[in-house]
Amino acid sequence: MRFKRKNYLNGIDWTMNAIHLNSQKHTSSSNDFIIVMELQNIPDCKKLDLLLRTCIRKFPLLKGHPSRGINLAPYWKYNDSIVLEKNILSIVNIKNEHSISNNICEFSNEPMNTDFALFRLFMVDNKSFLAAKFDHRLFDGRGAEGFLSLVQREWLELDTFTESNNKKNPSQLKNWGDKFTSGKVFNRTMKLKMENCIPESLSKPVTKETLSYSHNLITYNKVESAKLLENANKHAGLFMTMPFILANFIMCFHAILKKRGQTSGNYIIPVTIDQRQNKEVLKQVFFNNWSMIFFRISQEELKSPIKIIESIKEQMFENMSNKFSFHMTNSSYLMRILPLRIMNKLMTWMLKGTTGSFSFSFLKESVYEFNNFMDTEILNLYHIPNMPVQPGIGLFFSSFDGKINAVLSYIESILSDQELAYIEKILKGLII
Amino acid sequence: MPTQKGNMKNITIESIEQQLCTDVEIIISSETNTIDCNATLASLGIDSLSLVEIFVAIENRFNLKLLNTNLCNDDLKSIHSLSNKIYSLLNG
Repeated sequence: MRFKRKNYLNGIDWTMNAIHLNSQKHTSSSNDFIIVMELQNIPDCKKLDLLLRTCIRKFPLLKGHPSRGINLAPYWKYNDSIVLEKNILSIVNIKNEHSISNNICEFSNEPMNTDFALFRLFMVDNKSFLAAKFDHRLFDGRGAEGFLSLVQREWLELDTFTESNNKKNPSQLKNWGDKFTSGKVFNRTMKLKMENCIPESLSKPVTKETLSYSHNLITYNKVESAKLLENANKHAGLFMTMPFILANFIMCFHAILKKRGQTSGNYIIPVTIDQRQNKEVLKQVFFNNWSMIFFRISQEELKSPIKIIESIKEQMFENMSNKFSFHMTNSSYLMRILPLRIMNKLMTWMLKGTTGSFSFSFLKESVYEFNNFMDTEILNLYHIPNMPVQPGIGLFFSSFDGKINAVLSYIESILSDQELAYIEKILKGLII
Repeated sequence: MPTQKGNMKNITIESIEQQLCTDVEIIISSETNTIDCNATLASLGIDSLSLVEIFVAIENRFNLKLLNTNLCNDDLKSIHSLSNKIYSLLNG
């Protein structure tokens, strides 16, 4: 097959390719994530398969792969049209609803091979769970929600923004001066952030050769979600849900490490951010369009969640004032010159052997625009990301229809059962 | 360019509102030309990061640091109420 078209990758995409390589090396799967739609009924399987095929044909990027040019800029290589040789939808009958998390965990540990979007429908009695698995090299979390929205748009015969979603990304091989200036700002900020600090993190399990992914889902119904927002408002201020949850989780994480004898109390937390409006996401569902803020929490701030909240807010202000996230994205174009293996080493060197203490994100209200899928009511929609080997643990929040969902994603065996139970208790305690 | 607080004494609420609207439009990448100043910030999709971004814009424009000011929920209800708060702080 001759590949004709190219779509240039940005620096964050290239970073995701490096993490993909690292995940593939150490785990049974790779750097993927699943979006689960809990459906009230079972959609027509034949029609669903046909619908997904139609959508995938509309976006040939889904059958491409990363490559690099003579100018060293990496790009996504793909054809104008694609041939779907095998099934992209698999159907699994499960005995009872309680086993769904195990089934989804199994799905997350399966390799994706040459696919970038795979679908599995789990059927139980008259209910179903549609699990859509996405490769992080081609999709970010909100982009994948947007893709599912486009699938539903196709079903309703609405605009699927095919033209804008198939638009080529520019090579970004100009304005080098600006990119180097951004690199300077990024390096200086990170150097200051990491000064006299080796971030505490969980040690990687050494017992297994191939690591597996695990996840714990904590759902908050509408009343509980409202209570969580109310508590965040009370303790951190209006709209400050993210700092409230993050501060409480830092306290929880610190308690776990303290019990393990790790008491330095220095934490670096990379938090992914995506400030795009939902409409913008629908017009560019592919590739990675997020940036990051790094929060540093020191021993003296660990006395109470209020002190941590204040520190997080100050650091957010600092980040916005010096446009750190912009500079990070802009300077990341320079990283594309590096081969993936060197990228991996550089990323861990920058953060002194770890990519932080744990990962965290709090997504805005879902990009998915409807409350049903193929005429079936959606009871809930949540993300199950596979956590990269470093730092091996992450907490991810998403919202759908006024309901907040939390997913603790971790490398299996990195946490004991007691530690997991403690984290669940703390997260459920946010609504007390 | 940050404006000196001294020069802000004669500024009207309408002018503050207009300037704030422009900033919020940019921050939330509004597709419509103008946003309703009485619309709640929640309905405009404001979250912790965009609120902090608004505070940065306010500091740059009016030389006021609102991050650690005791703002109540009513102050953050809409652009209109936030403009009123800025006006009272500038003239307080």
